[in-house]
Amino acid sequence: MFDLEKAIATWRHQYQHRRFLLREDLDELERYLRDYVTHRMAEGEPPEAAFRAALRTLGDVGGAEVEYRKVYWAKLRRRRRFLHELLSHFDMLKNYLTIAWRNLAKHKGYAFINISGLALGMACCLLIFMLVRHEWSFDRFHTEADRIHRVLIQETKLDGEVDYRILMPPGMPEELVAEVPGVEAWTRVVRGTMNVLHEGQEYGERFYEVDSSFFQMFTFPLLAGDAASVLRDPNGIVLTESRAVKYFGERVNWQEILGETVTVSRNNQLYPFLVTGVVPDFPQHSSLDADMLLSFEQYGTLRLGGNDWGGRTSLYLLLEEGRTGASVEAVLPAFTERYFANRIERRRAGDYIAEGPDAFKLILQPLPQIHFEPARSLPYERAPHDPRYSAILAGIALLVLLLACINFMTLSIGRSAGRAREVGMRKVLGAHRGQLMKQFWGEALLLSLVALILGLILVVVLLPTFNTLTGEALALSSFVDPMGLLLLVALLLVVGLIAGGYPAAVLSRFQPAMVLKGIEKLRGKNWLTQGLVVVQFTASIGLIMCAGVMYQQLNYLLNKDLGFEDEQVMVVGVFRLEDSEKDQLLGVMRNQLMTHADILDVSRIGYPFTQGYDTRSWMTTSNEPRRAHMIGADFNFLDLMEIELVAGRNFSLDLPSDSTRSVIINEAYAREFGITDPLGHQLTGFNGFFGEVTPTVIGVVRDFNFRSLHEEVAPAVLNVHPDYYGSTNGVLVKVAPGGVQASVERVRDTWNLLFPEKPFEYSFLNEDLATLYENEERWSQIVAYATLIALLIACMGLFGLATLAVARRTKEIGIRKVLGASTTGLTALVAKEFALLVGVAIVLAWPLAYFWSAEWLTGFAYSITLPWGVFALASLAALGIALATVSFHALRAATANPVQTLRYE
Amino acid sequence: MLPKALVAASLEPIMLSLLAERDRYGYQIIQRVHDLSDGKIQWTANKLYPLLHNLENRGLVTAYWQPSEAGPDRKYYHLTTEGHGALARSKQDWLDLNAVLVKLWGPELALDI
Repeated sequence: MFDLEKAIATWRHQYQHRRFLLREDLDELERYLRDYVTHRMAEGEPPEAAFRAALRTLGDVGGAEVEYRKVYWAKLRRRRRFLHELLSHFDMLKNYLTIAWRNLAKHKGYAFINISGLALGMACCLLIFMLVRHEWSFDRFHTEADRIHRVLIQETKLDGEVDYRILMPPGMPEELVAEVPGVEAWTRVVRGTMNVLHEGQEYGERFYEVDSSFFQMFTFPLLAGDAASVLRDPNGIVLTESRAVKYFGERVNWQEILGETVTVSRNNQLYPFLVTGVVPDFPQHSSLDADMLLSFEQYGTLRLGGNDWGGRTSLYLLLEEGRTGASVEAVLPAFTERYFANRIERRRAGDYIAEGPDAFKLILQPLPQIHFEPARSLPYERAPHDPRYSAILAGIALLVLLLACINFMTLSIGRSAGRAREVGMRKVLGAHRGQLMKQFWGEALLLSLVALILGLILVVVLLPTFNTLTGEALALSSFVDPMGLLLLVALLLVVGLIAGGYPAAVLSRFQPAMVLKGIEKLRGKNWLTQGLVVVQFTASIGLIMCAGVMYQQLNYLLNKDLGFEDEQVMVVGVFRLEDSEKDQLLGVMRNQLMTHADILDVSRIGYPFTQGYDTRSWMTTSNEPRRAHMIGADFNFLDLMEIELVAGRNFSLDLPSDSTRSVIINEAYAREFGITDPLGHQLTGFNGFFGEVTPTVIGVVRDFNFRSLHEEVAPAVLNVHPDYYGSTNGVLVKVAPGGVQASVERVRDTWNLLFPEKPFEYSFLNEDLATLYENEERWSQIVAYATLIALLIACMGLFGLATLAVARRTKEIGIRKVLGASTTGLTALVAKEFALLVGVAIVLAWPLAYFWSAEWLTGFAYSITLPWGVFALASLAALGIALATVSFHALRAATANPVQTLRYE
Repeated sequence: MLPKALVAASLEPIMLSLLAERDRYGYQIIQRVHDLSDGKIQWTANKLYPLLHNLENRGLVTAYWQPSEAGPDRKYYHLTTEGHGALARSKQDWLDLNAVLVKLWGPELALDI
């Protein structure tokens, strides 16, 4: 009996035995056999006949073997060819690497210049990247960052200027949420400093009072405690990890300290709190930052906001999913008009805000935006950031990187003559242009890689300095994520490809026949190389000039005669005191402290110059309202500040009417309000605390800069009105030179005796004023550093080029020398060429630096006239440095023994 | 039965055309050729399969295994974009050849491609 399966198995065995078929192909043939047999059997043929017919269509084993072997051989050949190609690629790669390495080793100076320049440029870029990235990541780590908004009050003043207030009445949120739809959750945040009593010692800590929803809205995962309930208990306190360590020591499990007591000392009273949670320290890129958090229920008790009616309270809303800030803002006006009706009326009556419904409104500020809007920030937050700052920094970094890339290009092209033979030889041996370009590009990439590694090391070294300069605490760990690594790779590729691109194109273009005969050399005048050198020096010289201008302007600002004496003036902050306490303090200071020789004088001041201001509206002689600063003064204010009286007299204690009926104006007031004969002039417009009285001008003082020198001196009115004394926010203490430390201690002792529970805060007027120019100082430092690096890179490039130029002219110099040329003449010969380039750069740098400086100086009401001396000095310095760089080589070549130089090559 | 040389020459264009219609496995191809030629073209499996592998080597076809309801899996062949290109070129060659025959024999006797 015929068994089909057995027959097929026998057939398969026969094929397998011959071993020419792959298993897969045998499977395919078997399947064919089965299909054929099935088909024939379906037509009624018996199995055996069908199988034999199938075998016939299959052909004989020998024929199959021949055909299959042909196919397999082709396959094998293909695989071999591929392998061969791979191996030869690998061989070439090895060859390229060897050549690259030999080239580097042979020209160590060149390699050093290229690599170190690129490394510096890359380090600059990486540092700036870290900074910019840090700035942009602010507050974005909250899961609901896009839905959280802060509520602001926006006021439009009479002159159209817009002002923002962040602080809200603490009772407002409940009413707001009840009336305005779309708010899922909200929390108030009050910030302030309080003392924590621990083992008999008090420590100042930064506190937040927040609503219990705080940890649900913001993403600050707790180490211990439950986010939903942690601040529900009014007596609960949440510590940051560092504070928990400070008061309770290191713990593995923070649950252990839950229920422990933390004692807050406030206004001479002790308040115990129970630890209900521990949270990691607020991250660097969070605008919210505190040491400890309490429940908002403590608001009235602790008076962290300074009083119990509202202050230092900001409000954050979590909007419902799908709601935008704008959609919620749209329904706010109705609420605002009702809730703030009294306030709006008051502000308008006082001429603080303009007419119209938009002059006072509530707006929402998205959480991630807070960091970028300095105009809408709180002084208690992490310093906000002006985005222009990142842009300029990035520009400087790219400029430095560009200079380094230019070095790479000019030096590679400069050295191309030396490699022309290699290119010629490779081409003769069958290399085509693409391969050569790949080779040179590969070399550039290799150099970039080495530079990148060095750059990273430089970053590590420079980071502390950079952090001091920028006031941040950046860490290298920001590169250990996909985005950071991507940047590293991008930097490597971009620098390698850009810097290596042009040299690769030039080098691979050489005609082998010409090169090998020694005909083709790089033409003496290489416009591109020279152009690039000019670009480098233009940038460097421009930077030197700008740095010089910035330095001079900063110096000018810090040393300008402000119209008053700011040295030795201590400012004591009294804004925390009640009116009666202020009087008490002044009395004690005048009666007791001034008996000490080193305390010369004491005076009130409304707002210490940098700490706030007050403006009121008055009428000009043409009867138009204008705003002028109101300065709360004292009878001895002008004497203490050494402000010059140009007309009239000072306030006098002997004339009782002075305090309520007299004012002193500054020259700016007289000028801008059109008053030609100021003495005896009556000021109309503002009545406020003057009531029915129209104050009379009794004196005019010379203009003094009570605000930043970015602004012109504004019109100002000085008064000693007793009802205005409520705005006394500072006490000025004039200290004798040399008695500063002792005076501070005396004032502090007096303060602590009178108000032991209130913090003693003081500063010095000249230091306060210097903070107005912190930004300029930081900038001038950054530009100075950038200038230094740029100049260094440019000089390294020039040094390299000079090396090459001298090497190319070795023989010429030898011959000239033999023919009697002097060392000076020969040095000049080489230096001339480069001096010309630097000269062109100077000519180009002048207008650039001029326009930039002029533009920058317009930001100051008081500025230096453009210091042409600085420009000239910068030009000379650049020329000098460039010539010194070049002459080193020129001199060496010129003093070399001509016998040696003539044997060269 | 057609002469061997003619069958061998037409093998590739016919195969490409069949695969251009749809993906097929070996037995299907042989059957289809058999039907189309009324049995005048008899391809043997030991010629057909190596040719398919050859086409695969040249990138004109790709192959994939697919389970069948009865029996072991079947290997299907699929014409690639390059295969379509090769078919178009081959078609043009045969049309050119046809044009010569038309001129020699008159239209009614020419190949009907």
